[in-house]
Amino acid sequence: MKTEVERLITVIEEVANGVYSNDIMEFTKPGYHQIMQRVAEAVGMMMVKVEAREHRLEQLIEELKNLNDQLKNNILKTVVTIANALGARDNYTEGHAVRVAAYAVRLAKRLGLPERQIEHIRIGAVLHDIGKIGFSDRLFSNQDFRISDDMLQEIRSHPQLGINILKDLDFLGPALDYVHYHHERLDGSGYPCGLHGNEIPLGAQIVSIADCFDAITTERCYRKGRNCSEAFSILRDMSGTHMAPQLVESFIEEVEENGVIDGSKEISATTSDLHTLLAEG
Amino acid sequence: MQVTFNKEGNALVVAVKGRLDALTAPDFESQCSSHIEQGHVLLVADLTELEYISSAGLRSILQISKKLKQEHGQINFCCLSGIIQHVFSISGFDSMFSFHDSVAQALLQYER
Repeated sequence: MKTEVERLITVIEEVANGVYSNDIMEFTKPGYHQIMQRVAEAVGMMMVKVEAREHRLEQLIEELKNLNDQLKNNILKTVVTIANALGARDNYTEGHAVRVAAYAVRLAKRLGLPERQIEHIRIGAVLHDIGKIGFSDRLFSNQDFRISDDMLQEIRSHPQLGINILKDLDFLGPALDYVHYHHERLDGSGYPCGLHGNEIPLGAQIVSIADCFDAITTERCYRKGRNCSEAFSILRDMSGTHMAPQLVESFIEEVEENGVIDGSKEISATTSDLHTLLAEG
Repeated sequence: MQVTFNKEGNALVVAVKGRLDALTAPDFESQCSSHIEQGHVLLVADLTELEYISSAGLRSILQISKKLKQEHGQINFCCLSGIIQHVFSISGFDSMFSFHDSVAQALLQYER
């Protein structure tokens, strides 16, 4: 009897330590003292209860993960829809937003940023020019390269216009800052706030480089797109004054290793193309 | 304890008779497991004639449910007597599974 009690206590201690097995059930079988059977059944019931709760929690976590994935997907669709609204006014901007997002995500991944931050960068990049939706028609239809002071002022207002449009979408989180500050420059010469150095969030700096590179390499109505080596040289000219050198070099390495995004394909990007590119990026 | 298995449409009805305790639960679990391995992953446990269930019986159900989960299957229950219902409720199983008044109703869940 004494050794049986000792064995039962050992098994109970194991259960207390989280080792769940059928060992405790053995003591509920006929042949053991009635008190031992009752103790074992009570402990066994407690154990199954805890196990069941843990199992239930695992199930709930899985359900939450699925719901979270659905939610993220819906957010991305919403963001793409908003970006498409601008695309309806300006074909260049639509393809541009998607390419910038793909480049920005590639740089962010290369830098080893956490997945969550990469998602914010993706969304910020898709939306970075959304403020241009408030531009007057003359800016979209302008075939003339000469830009007047008030046109320049209007162009420079787009990050703030973007924020005015998006500010109530709390789920965008830091992506809002990336839209706001994607034209800031390290030396403080950028707009709209004239931020310096590390005052500019990393995500905004990443979007900024991707934005410049795509603008340089894409053909516009008023000029031809430049090739990669010309674009790299322009980025390097901006390195140190406008952009962080280590980001510029990582970006160039990324494009050298994995290539440019085919511009002709994305300029007239449809929603499904946007999704594909966003998913690939 | 006696277990009988009957195929009903895409589901397998498992009727348990007698006591599900430390003596009988391992056999119940292994019989169900071999059916799951044969591809029967939608189970209805008909507990009309289940007289008693102990912690060992509950644990075997939990193990079967975990196995089914891995196979993207499911188990639901029908025809629980008052005492059995009480044990399911104090162990927290009532919030993990769905319960029905008849085999037919339990089967309906898999037809939807």
